[in-house]
Amino acid sequence: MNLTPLIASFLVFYGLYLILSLSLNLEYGYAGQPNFGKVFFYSVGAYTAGAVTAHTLRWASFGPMGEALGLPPVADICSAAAAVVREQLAAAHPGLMAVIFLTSLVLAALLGAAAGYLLSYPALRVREVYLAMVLLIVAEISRSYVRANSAIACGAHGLVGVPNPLLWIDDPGVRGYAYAAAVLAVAGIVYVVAQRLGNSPFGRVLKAVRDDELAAQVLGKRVARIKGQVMAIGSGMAAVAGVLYAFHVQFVGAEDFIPVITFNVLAMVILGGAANHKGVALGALILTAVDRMSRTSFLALFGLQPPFDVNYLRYVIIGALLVVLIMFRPQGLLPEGPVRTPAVEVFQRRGSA
Amino acid sequence: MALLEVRGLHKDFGGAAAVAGVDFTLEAGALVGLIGPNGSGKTTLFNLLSGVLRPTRGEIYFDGQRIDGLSPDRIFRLGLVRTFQVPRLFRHMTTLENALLPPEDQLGESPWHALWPKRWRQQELALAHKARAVLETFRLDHAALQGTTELSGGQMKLLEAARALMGRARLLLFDEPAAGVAPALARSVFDHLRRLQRETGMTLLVIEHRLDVLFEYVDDAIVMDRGCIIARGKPAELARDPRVIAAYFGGGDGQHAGEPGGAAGSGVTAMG
Repeated sequence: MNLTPLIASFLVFYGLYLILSLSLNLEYGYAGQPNFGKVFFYSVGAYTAGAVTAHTLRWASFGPMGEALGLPPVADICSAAAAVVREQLAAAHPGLMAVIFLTSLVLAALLGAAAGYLLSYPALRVREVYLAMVLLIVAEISRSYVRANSAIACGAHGLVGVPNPLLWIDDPGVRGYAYAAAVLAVAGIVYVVAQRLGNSPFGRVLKAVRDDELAAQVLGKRVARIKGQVMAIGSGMAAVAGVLYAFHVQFVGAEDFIPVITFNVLAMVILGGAANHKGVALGALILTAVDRMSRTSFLALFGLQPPFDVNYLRYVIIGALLVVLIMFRPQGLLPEGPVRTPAVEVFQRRGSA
Repeated sequence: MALLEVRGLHKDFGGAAAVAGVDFTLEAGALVGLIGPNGSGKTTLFNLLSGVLRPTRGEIYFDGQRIDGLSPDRIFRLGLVRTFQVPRLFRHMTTLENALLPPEDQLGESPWHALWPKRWRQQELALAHKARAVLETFRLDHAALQGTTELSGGQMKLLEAARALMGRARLLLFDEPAAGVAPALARSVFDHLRRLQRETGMTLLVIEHRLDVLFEYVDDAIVMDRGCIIARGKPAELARDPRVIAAYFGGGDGQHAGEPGGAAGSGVTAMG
């Protein structure tokens, strides 16, 4: 039994969910903004990756790179022939793919951040519950819109053939691990960013806005700007995860971006411990495991064929975990800690002296 | 020129006037009391001055600049800081974090600079030392690293006051800073406020129901009743003023209003 693809895929999804849950932790755990449209910002990243890849490789197919491989120029990026051309170009030109990959990451982070900043506007107008509904609806409308418009990610069919940037590595096992390492490296950077933001005066202001918006405002904090900043940062991170997702599944389609992803991420934050990045990393690990293992394809590897749809079992497990958590440990596995800045040392030194 | 000037200030809540035509000025460097029975509009006045509420009519000038209609954060940054009667602490944060929030221009509040701890470390340490001094004044330094939910009601009140002193205020509005605080500590709160006023030239407007304590400290006091200012003067004058006595003790029927000093005047003293 070859477990390599399974392990590599698990590591990739852990990295993706880690980025998403850290980003939601900043928005919701720290700043109290329930971004129930998380999956929308994730999808923005995937669409960006799809567009950058398809258009760059279409352009390449007209030039010497395409000629050298004897490939036909791509007319319609949504065609099956175009997908084949893209894969061959990707396998032959690692440098070009690296540029496409990095450009997608940067562009998606910027677009995601811009979208998050714009959508922080309702956060200034409505209370948390309504903000959650507004963002949930935005995500659902965008999914319907993309599905109906072939201009973005080829509409209902989706964009097939978003080649992995490491396609030039021949051994699929090595390639899988290498890509997983890249995803985890990005997730590691996001983790460090989240920790630094959380343990800084910025993190303190976020928590103040969460605990008492009016008091924060009366104490001079520009609440509107702060909400915009945290939504921009969180959404930029989610879009980066979207890029990494697109290059992993090598496909971009609107139907992948359903609200369940948002709720999985929310469950990770609540299970691990809101406003505790370490806890969120733990919550993401546990629920990624539940998510990956409760699939027919996974169980089949061990010769298990349950007589029911395991997809439903997944929601039962997550639901049961959350119920037990709320009953026995509502603060999450690792509870929120203080903001660790150098100021704490001033008082600790004193205490020990 | 007066630091604060209020002209014809009105605030109606669906027809009921909470503040009904208030005019007054505060000179820079003064320590002024604001007294009046419950529901007389003192806290509403604070809400109007700090931008939490918009006035229905009237104008507020702070240091010559019109501030009615500005957002609370802008008013804070201009140097007008207020506290709340019921403390509005950041519940899931420590005493220290509450104290460190208000200072302006913190480099680490920008998400970009927050990523580089070395850039804001010195500023953070300086603020921590300031916070330690302020918290010591209010005997909160030992609770600095505790969550605010572990504080007693009196300590919460003190932290609310301490937090206001962490900003760069020129005018401080204190809403009952010593309510629920142990008597000895209540006096030390007022001692501290007076020291602030004398040493830094800060201007203070303080709501306080314990007239015996308040009158020891303030230069003069403003008396409100039913949304209007009914008197303003030195503590000694106010303690004898029949309108003040009527508003505080007479049930507002004006029966005591005509009586000179005597019985009602001793009432003010007895109040202490």
